[in-house]
Amino acid sequence: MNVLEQIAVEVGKTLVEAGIRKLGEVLSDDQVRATVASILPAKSETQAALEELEMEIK
Amino acid sequence: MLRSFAPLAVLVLALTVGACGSTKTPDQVRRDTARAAVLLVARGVAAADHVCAEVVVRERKDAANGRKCAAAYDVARPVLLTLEASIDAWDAKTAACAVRDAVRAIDTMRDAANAAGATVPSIVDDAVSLGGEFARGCP
Repeated sequence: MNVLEQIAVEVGKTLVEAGIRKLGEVLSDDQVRATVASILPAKSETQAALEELEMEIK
Repeated sequence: MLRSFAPLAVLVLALTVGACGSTKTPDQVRRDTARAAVLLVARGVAAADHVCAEVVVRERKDAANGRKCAAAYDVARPVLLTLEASIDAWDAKTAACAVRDAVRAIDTMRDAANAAGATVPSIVDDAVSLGGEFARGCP
């Protein structure tokens, strides 16, 4: 990796880190909790699909 | 008239910019980052789970790789719930290690999807790479 590529990687990493930090600043703990709970149900979509597949095979 | 207001305008602008700048401690910054990491990694898990369900199991009927996805999901979900708790109590090491475990689980789901010939959306790759950056804090 040449010097220019190295700089591009470092700048990109810094921008990404700044973006994550900014996103974190605008989210409250409650929002994070609500989001995780709502997007990750106890039973995965995959598990539900596997159960459907088992029913089909039977 | 305008010239007399110019210094005042500059002062107001300087105060406004100064007020907008954050003076957070490194720990607060890391906590902010942890919040975003939780969200990003959770979305990565959900996206990988969706691909596993729709493509790996329903379309390809690949139960073996589907089971790998489901097992990894069952690892990632409680890890992220633990991470929420650690953000509230703010334990930097626990947070970083929880992200590491969740990222490993997403990686497993991605590998299983790829093995079944499915491609995952870019948010999964982003969650792995950015979550991996955050997880560096895990000893």
